[in-house]
Amino acid sequence: MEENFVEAPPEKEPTERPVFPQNAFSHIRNKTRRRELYKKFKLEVTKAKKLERLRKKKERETLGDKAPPKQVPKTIESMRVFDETMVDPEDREVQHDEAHDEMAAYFKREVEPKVLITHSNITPWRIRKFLRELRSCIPSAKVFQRKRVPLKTVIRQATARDYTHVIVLHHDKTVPNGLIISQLPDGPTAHFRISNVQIRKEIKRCDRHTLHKPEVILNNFNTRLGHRIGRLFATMFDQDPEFVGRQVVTFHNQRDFIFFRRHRYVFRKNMRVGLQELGPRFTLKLRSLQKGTFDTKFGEYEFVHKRREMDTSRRKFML
Amino acid sequence: MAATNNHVWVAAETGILKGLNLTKRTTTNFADFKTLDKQLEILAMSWGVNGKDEILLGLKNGTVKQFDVNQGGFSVTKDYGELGGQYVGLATIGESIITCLSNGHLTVWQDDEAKQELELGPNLKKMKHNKQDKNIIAAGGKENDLKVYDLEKPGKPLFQAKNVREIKEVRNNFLDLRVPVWVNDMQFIQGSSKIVTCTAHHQVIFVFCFLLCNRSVIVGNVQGRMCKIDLRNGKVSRAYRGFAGSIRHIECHPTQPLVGSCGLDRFFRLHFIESGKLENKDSSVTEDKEEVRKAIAGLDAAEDGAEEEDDEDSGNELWEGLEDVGEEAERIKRKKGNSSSLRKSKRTK
Repeated sequence: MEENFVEAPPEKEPTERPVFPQNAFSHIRNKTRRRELYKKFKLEVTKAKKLERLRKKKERETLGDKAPPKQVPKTIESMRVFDETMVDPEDREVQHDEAHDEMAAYFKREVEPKVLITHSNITPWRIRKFLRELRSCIPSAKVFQRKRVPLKTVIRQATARDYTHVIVLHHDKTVPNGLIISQLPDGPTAHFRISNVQIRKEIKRCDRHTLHKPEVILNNFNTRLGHRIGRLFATMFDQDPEFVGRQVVTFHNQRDFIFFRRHRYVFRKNMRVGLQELGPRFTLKLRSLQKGTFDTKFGEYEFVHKRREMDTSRRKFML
Repeated sequence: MAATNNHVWVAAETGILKGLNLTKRTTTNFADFKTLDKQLEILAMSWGVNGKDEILLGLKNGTVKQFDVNQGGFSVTKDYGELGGQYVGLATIGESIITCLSNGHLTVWQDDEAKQELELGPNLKKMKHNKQDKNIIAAGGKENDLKVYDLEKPGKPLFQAKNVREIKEVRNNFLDLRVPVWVNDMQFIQGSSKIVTCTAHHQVIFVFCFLLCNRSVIVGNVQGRMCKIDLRNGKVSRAYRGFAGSIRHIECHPTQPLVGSCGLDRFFRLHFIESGKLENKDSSVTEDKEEVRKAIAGLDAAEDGAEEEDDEDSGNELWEGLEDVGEEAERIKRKKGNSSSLRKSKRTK
């Protein structure tokens, strides 16, 4: 009976793979029967896929170089909507802008990073633990208790004491939900949503870190906005990592989510390198970027993420 | 290189002057990258004394540069010495140039000599020059409410705005407290003796209410929201979309139903006023990956320029087929703050 429901594959694809029939089984009222048919159909599909894979592999082995090229998988990233602000490193205007922006002094080695980390007023144990681990990632950082001091006052006092960054972690019912990174004294201020925070204790096979200055990897920050965010992250770390420690901090941007990881690389053999995770882990999503330091009343925004307006396509990314 | 084919002129925070051609969607930078630095940031812009052949640029270092549109290069640089403030407005009357500084110092220069000086009070944010009645200027700032001066009778201001507290008939604040003043921008309404101001405290205030012939203002805020407000009922009649960051300047076309805006998100956008459609997310920034960081007073020049180009360039598809709204064309203001609180704050005298 099932032959009637499986539609013929389209003619243009000679390597036939069973096409999933839209609602082909939905008219069968008997649930068990329907499921059976569907299961059988799925099995056929997987089997055909497997055979196809094997055939291609064989073809590649026999033909060698003459084999048809491997198809590039279509991913959301590779089909990204064209972004006109993608940075061309050769662009003189971009070069000029980056040589004169707020972060330029760090890259010219005129200032050393000095980071102040604080939190919202009431902090549970897990948050404090997380902040201590975050501090261990950033060598120049110190954690301070907030003591109900307004953030603008914190920033004023930190500026007076030559801090270059203020990091503030917010939480809701012990779950971290917001992270503000503000560069001093001229900004910018980035506001992130923070999620999936895992402290070292919660990560499997996590090792202890050492006190060496880490290397920093910034992945996929390609637009003008992305460059700015990437540069902001870079300025929090020392320019000269201690390679002896083999520790790496990674900010990996994928589909506008920034994944933070810390690893130690291990040379296993001559050719093989392993990674040992050191923790913590968390994910950031940019909500806004403000010019100047934290000022929600009169500060000007360079970027505000507006979900209704901007999230119109799954293939459109900001960073 | 001639720069006459540009429709819009935009000045950047980096000190670059940009010419945008809206039909070809190209951007041209007019700057010497070797000498650019932060001190050359462009703070004010205006047409020069010879009309639309020249653009005057007020820089952060206190000098006024003149850009020659026909030559496509900077022709004259005027240094007015130690000023003690930043430019908040530039304008021309006949042969003379008006400069206005944030410390309230307004000077009328003729042949590099100060012909007339005025003190407008500290913390000035904006000075605007009335295009119709050339002798009239308006200025305002933080705790420095709107003042209107006639330059021919400089002794006393023509009009001095009063704070809400002082106007007994209108008390916006129910506790009868003093309302803070922070005028961000103002605009003379064409064809009438009215001025619209907007404040950093999220208000649009309509003063000089004699006749209500023009109905709407377009305002934008620091979070990248732009909307059209009907001044008759204080309601938002159209919201414009597509902005990512703070809007620094809005200007509408003198005859066409188009509004151009640019700001910190480095884009120049052109919207239809009535439909709110994005006509051109402009190439300003798109194709050449240029940035438009700060356009102060720039589009003023720009949109006027656009009209001028029309006559010369017959193949100008963008402007063709657009109906002329004539006198109905809305004037524009910008404001900072949240548009939702506008309804309450509108007042008429």
